[in-house]
Amino acid sequence: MSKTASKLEAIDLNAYYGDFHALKNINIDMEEKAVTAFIGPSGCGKSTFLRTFNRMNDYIEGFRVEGQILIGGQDIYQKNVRVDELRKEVGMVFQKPNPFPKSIYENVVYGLKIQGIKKKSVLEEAAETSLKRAALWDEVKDKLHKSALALSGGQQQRLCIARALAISPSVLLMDEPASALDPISTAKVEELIYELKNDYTIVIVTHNMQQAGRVSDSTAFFYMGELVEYAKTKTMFTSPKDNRTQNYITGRFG
Amino acid sequence: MRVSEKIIEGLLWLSAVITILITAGIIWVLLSESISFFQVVSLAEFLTEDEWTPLFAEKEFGILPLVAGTLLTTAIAIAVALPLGLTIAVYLNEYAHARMKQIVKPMLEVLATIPTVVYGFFALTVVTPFLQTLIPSLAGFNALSAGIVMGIMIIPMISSLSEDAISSVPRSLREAAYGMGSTRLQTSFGVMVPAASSGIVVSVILAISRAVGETMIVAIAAGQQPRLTLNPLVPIETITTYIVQVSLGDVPQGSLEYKTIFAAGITLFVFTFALNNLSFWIKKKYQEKYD
Ligand SMILES: Nc1ncnc2c1ncn2[C@@H]1O[C@H](COP(=O)(O)OP(=O)(O)OP(=O)(O)O)[C@@H](O)[C@H]1O
Ligand SMILES: [Mg+2]
Repeated sequence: MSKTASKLEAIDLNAYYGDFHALKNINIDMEEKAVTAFIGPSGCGKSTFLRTFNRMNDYIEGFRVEGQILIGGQDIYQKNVRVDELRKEVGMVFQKPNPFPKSIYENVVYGLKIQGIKKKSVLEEAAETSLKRAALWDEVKDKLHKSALALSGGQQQRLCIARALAISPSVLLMDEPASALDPISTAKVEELIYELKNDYTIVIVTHNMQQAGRVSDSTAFFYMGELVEYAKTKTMFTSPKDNRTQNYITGRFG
Repeated sequence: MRVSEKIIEGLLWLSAVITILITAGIIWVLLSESISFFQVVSLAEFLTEDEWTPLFAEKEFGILPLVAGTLLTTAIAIAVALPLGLTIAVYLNEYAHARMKQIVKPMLEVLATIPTVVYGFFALTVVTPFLQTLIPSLAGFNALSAGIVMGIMIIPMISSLSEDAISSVPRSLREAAYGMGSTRLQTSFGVMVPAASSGIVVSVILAISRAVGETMIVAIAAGQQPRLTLNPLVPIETITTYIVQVSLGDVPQGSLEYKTIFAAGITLFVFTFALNNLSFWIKKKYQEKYD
């Protein structure tokens, strides 16, 4: 279903909101077809960093980056890169479910429609496959043409995941995708992430250490705009190298 | 404290009651005068006769020509104002930088403050001669120029209300659209505008009400010839213009000719009343859809 998953890299990355230095000299190399978790105290720059991978920060006045972000070896901050094309490769799921005020079906096929795909059979098949992948099909198959806003929060979030999957990106960015959900929906989303990593490169921001432990292969710990430590999740959770990491994951601050 | 609050409450109540009384009074005058009109001219004649010549020797009392004139100029005005107003709203919202916004918005507000009589002369002395170079058959007084200029006048109404509606769409929705690989254009017209549609529709209905009630521009530029036509190139007359024409003329008070303005007035009232209800209905319908 997905294209070849791509590796994500940041090289000497600095980011600024006006004068505020939000990301400081970050170097990281994330494997394809793996889940990387971003953890760290509130305001440390996780979302800012995540959003550089689909250039979602472009719309913030005064925001700028220095250094490179490479996806599959290509620098996405080059002038000739079209952000709309980039985002077809790099899907995003937000903290708060944000379905369009359209029907469930229209939400899922939105990305295909804006790419000019009109054939009903193609759209319908894509909708079914994506909803099945997002473990939502059984719950919504009888009301595909009802408003997406009538779904529960957890269902809406899985719909947003289905919507992102429908355009077959190679990378999936998730910014605290389960933070607004109840435990059962959270478990479903986590299960889903676990499934999806067979095909996608996934980055997930989370405040939940257990969640990072359960779903991720590698974990990156950020602190005040710096990447403090980046390692295999198991290694980091059992023997963190840096004091600050140790303190954070044992819950001493943050 | 208590007493002053009571007094304020009383004043508020009073102003509400006064408003209601004034409205009721206006409706009462309209109704009573037009009832005596309809005792002479049957409602059927009023609604089906295709000529309106109360001021001529051979009198005909068909309101349709005035209604047609009103609808024609209104339709032209909306055809001009809706696309332009909506484009401006989208531009201000999605494309313009903060500084550009600061320049464009006050300029639009200026459009709304120009006296309508100025618009009328602009239509008559600038727009019509210009259009005549393109359409030689265009009459000196016509619905087209009046409608276009009326459209320009109501652009700020549509653009600013629509802009409010679009900018009150949650940011998360815009991010969702961009996140799916939408271009700016796809985001604006595919997501933001539909999500703001109830507000936009309401702005359009208000603009229609404004256009239906507009008097000066049509009085000056559209001619004062009631004519049952949808041809925008010839002189026409609208309901409002007719009322002005009679009110300013030397028609004796209490005569049948005089009473026609109340009949025309109540027709206008029915229109705006219907538009109001339509906007309520649309708002409700959209709310049900999106809640
Ligand atoms: N639009 C903005 N303008 C200016 N500063 C911003 C903006 N967005 C974020 N920041 C600042 O950048 C820093 C990093 O913010 P970011 O949202 O990336 O943190 P985060 O790690 O995602 O936090 P949280 O866990 O609370 O979501 C914060 O200090 C924040 O105040
Ligand atoms: Mg964040």
